[in-house]
Amino acid sequence: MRRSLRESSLAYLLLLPALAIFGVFTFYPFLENFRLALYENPPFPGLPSHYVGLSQVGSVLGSTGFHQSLVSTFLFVIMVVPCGLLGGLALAVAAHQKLAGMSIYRTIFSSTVVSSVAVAAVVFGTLMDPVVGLLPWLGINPTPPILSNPTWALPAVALIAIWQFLGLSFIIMTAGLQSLPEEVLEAARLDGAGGWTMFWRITVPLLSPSLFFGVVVGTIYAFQSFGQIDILIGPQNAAFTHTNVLLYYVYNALSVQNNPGLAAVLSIVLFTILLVLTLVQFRFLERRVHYASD
Amino acid sequence: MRTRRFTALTLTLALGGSATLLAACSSSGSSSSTTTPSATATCNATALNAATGPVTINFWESAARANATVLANLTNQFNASQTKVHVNLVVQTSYADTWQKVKAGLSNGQLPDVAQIQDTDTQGAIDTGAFLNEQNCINGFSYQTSDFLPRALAYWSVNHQQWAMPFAVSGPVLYFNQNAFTKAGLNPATPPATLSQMVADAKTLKTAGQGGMGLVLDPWHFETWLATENDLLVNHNNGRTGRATAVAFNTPAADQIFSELNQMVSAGDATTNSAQGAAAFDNLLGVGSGKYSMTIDTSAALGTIQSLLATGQYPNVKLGVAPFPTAVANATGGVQPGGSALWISSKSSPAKEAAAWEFVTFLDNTASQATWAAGTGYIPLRTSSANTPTIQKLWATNPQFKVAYTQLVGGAATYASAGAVLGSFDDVRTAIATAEATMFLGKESPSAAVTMAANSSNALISNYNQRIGQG
Repeated sequence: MRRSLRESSLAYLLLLPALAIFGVFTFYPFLENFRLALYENPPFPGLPSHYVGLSQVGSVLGSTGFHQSLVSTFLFVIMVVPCGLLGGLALAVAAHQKLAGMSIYRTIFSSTVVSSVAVAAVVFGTLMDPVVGLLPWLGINPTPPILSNPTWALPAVALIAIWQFLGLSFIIMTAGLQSLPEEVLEAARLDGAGGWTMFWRITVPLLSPSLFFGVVVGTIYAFQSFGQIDILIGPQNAAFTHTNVLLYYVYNALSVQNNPGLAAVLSIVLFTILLVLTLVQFRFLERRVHYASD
Repeated sequence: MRTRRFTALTLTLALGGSATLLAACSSSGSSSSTTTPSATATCNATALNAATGPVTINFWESAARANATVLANLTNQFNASQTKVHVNLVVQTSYADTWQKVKAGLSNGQLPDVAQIQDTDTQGAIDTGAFLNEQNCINGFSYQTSDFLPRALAYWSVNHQQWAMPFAVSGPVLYFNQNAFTKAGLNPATPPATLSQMVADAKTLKTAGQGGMGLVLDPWHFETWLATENDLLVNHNNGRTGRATAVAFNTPAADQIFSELNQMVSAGDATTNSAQGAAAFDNLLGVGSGKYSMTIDTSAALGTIQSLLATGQYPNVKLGVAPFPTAVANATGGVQPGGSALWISSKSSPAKEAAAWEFVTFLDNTASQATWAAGTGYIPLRTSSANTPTIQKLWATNPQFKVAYTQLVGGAATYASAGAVLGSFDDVRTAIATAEATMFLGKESPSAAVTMAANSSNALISNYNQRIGQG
C-alpha cells in the first residue's frame, strides 16, 4: 500500500513537467478561449473590452459571413478528402507491383508530403495565372481570373490541398496494402476471384482500417488548410471568393480585424465541429471497419 | 488499434486546441486599462531644450525601394544638420507592416516615436490613444501652415485639429497609351475628362481593335468620383466634424457611377483586376502589353512606370497622363488626396515628442518636400516647394509629374474633397470592392450593388464604433 502510494506519487512527479507545459500552453488557453467569447474586444489592444455574454456567440452564429464560411468549409472538405483518398489509393495500388524501379515511383508519389505549402501554392498560382498560366492557356480562363472568381477560387485551392494530401494518403494506403495477409488473397485467388472482385471484395475491406484512418486524418488536414488560401487569395478577397474557410476566418478575425472575441467564437465552433465529426466517424464508420490482425 | 483511435482523437483535440490557442494568445483581455490621449499635452521647444545631450528617436517608415533611399538620405541630412536630435530610421517597407507593428506595440510597448501611417488608418490611429494630436505642436511651436496645400492638410484634420502632418501624398490619375488613342482615331491631346467620356473612349478603343480599359477594383477611385461631385462618403461631413456613424453614399449619384462602370465592364470594354495581392498591377502591366489602352492608378506609380518604359521593353506604348476623369461635367468638388502622414507617439517623453516634431517639420520643409517629390513622384505639399528650381525644372522637362499637383490645388476645398475619415476604413473599402465585383459578375444591378455596399459598410462602421465604446 505504502509502496504503491510512493510509486504513484513518483509517477505524478514525472508527469508534472508535461502537465505544466500542457496546462500553460494548451489547457489554459483552451479554457480562456471560452471566456474570451463572452467579451466584445476593441479594435486595438490597450482599450477596454466589454462583457456581452452569449449575445456575441448569437450574433456570430447568425451572421451571413459565418454561414458562408461554414458552407465553404464543408465544400472544401468534401472536395479534398474523397479525392485525396481515392487518388492515394489508386497510386498505391499502381505502385504495389513487384517491378524494378518501383521505389522511384513510390518516392515521387509520396514527395508531396515534404513539399511546403508555400511552394505548392506559388507553383499552382503560377499555373493559374491569367497572363502566364497553363490553365488559361488551355482555355480555362474565366473573368474574373480563377483565383479572384467566386465560382473557381475554392475548387482551385482545394486542388492544391488534394495534391498535397495525395502523398500522405499514398503512404497510408501503401502501408495498408503491404500489411494485407497474403493467405487471404491467395485463398480468394484459388476461389477464382478476378481482379475487380479481388479489389472490391477483398482488398478494400481489408484496407478499411487504413481508409478509416485516412478519412480521419484527411478531414483534419482539410479543416486545417490555411497556407494556400493566405498566399493565393489573401484576407481581403477571401470572403468575396468564398474561400473564407473556418480556420482562415479565425485567423482573419484575429490578425486582420483584431477581434479576439469573434475569433474565440469561431474557434469554439471549429472545435465542436471537429469533435462531433470525429465522434461520428468513430461511432458509425468504425463499425464498418474490418480489423484483420486484431 | 487503440493507438490509432488515440492518435486521431489527439489530432482533433490538438487542432481544436491550436485554433483556440490562436484566439487566446493575442487577447487583450477584459481588464486592460483605459489610456486617454494626452489632451493637455505640451509639445514645445522648452521640452527639447531642457534635455541634456542629443535626443534619440525612432522613426518607422513605410516606403520601400527607391522611395526608401530618398527618405534615408533626408534622414541623414537631418541628423547631420543639427546636434539636438538623432533619428534612427526603421524600415517597415509597407503601410500594412507599419500598422500591424504599431498594433502589436500597443500591447508590448514597442512603439516608435514617429510613424508613417496610411490615410485609411487615420481614425484608427486617433482611437488607439497612442498618438499625439499634432495640433498641440503647431500651437506650442507657433508653426505656420499657410504655405501647405489646403487639401493635403485637410485630409488629416479631424474636428479642426491637425492630428498628423501630411508627408507622402498622391492622387489617382489617368494613364493612357497615346499610340492606341491615335490608332483608334481619338486625339491623345484630349483624353477623357469625365467618367462618361472615359466609358465612350473605352468603347471606341476596343472597337478599333485597341485594348480597352484596365479597371483596378480600388474603391479609392469611387471615393474620388464622389469627391469630384462634392458628395460625401460618410456622414458628419465625412467624419470631419463628428465620428462617422453611417455611409452617405447610398444616392443616385453613386448609382450613376456604378452604372457607368458596369456598362463599360459588361460591354467588354473594360477588364477588372483586384487591387490586392499578385493581381494588383495587372492593369498597369496590361497597358504595357497592349492589352489595355487606359487605366486609373496612383500618381505615385509614375516614377516606376517611366523608368520601366525607359528600358525599351514596351516599344508600342507612348505614355499619356491626364487628370482623374471627374464623375460629371462641370464638377463642383475636387480630387481627394491619398497617401500617408507622420504621426507622433503620445507614449514618448515630452523631449522625444518635441524632437519628433522637429524631425516632422524638417521632412515637411520647403527643401525636403521638393527633394522628396522629385525623387519619388509624390506631390510637393508646399507652394514654396513647388516653386523651387528642383520642382520647376522637373515639371518643365517632365510635365506628367505636375498632373497630380495641379488637380490637388484645383477644385473646391470642401469636406467632400478632403476625403473621409472613419473606423475600419479598409474593411469598408473591401465591402465596396466586393459590391462592385458582384455587380460586374452580373449578380446585382448597379443600384442594388450600391445598396449592398452601403449596408455592409454601415454594419462594419457601427460594429467598429461599438467595439471602440462609441456605439
